[in-house]
Amino acid sequence: MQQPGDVMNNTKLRILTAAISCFSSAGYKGCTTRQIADQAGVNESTIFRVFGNKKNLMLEAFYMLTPGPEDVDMSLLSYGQDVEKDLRLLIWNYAMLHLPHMPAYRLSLNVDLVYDREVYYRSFAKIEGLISHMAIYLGQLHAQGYIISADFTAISEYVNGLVLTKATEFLIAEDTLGELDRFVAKYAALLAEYLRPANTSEREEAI
Amino acid sequence: MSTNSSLKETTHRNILASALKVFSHKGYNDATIKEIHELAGCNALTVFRHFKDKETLFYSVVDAYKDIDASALETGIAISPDDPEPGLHQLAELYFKILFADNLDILRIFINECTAFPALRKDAWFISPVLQADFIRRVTAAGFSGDARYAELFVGYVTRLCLEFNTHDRVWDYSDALLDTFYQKMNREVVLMGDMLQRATQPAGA
Repeated sequence: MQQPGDVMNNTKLRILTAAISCFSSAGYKGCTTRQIADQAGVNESTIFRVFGNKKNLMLEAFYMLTPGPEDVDMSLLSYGQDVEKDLRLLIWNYAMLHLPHMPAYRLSLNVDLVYDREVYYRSFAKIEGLISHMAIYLGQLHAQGYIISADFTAISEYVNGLVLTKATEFLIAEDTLGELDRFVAKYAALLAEYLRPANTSEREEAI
Repeated sequence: MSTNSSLKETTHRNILASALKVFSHKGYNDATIKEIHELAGCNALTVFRHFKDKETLFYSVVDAYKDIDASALETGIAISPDDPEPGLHQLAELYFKILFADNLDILRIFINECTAFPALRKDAWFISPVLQADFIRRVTAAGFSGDARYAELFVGYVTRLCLEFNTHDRVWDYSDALLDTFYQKMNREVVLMGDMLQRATQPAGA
């Protein structure tokens, strides 16, 4: 039997999902709470009861639906046995996690949006989290001697920068997943080339 | 007669420049012809005489501003084969300037509107290929690998920094400390890129 709390959470999630899709297609000012309510299949007054106001709804929507480091699936990583495969998984994960940030990212580019400070802060705090998360994983691989020493934060920043700028292209690509796959394979190979110890002595040095 | 046509041309350019500002600051949906004609200093009717409707105006803006002024890339920056870092540093600053100072408005339009206007796809990130080609030309001149992936990493990062700076600049007070933070970030990436290029150029096993 459904608990009252479940019904509430379900409604909340429906409103948030509708809000994200409205805000990202029409902009903050371009969509009304009425449209969001219609799309979520709830009464407009429910939105105000749950979220208070439109601004709060936007902040909650971007915060709840943008993933953070805790959403990276680490269970599939081989932890150094195949560096390139691990990098492929990591980059793919980051790219997938970046895509939901795009609406917030775009809103924060809208100069006249009064509330962008909060959107920016919340969304980018998570992105920063993703960057340090990847750097820590690479640091572990290095500690175990699988890869050479390097500025892992800088590597993560590069990957992140590229993913964010590419995210725009992915969103409008005809074959998003295919394009994403090619992108991920390309950069995993490049980084593996760079990070792989060239010979045994370098490997020992790394250890 | 000639004064008349040059006046017409000036008005045309004014409308495009105003539309660029309004579209990039407000987004296509929230932008109004009223704001555009007020900023351009003409009346609404004039805007519609030059451009049939809002959409035509939008595409005209994209067409007018999508090309990068290549002369900005004609500088004496050279990358040294022994120590690529200083040259890469200057390049990062140059690209940052081109993206941030000269092309930020149109860049914002591309990011904001690309899903609503799929036709923009063919022009999207029009600047990146130009900067990437420039990067490849300069590093290969120094004897480093001309692998396009390095160029993409480098230009992609500068672009991201630029968009982030744009947000910071507006949201928080602009300060020298903020600029310092960005240079520090950029510096890390430059050092890493120098290292990557040198490593990629070394013969295997050396």
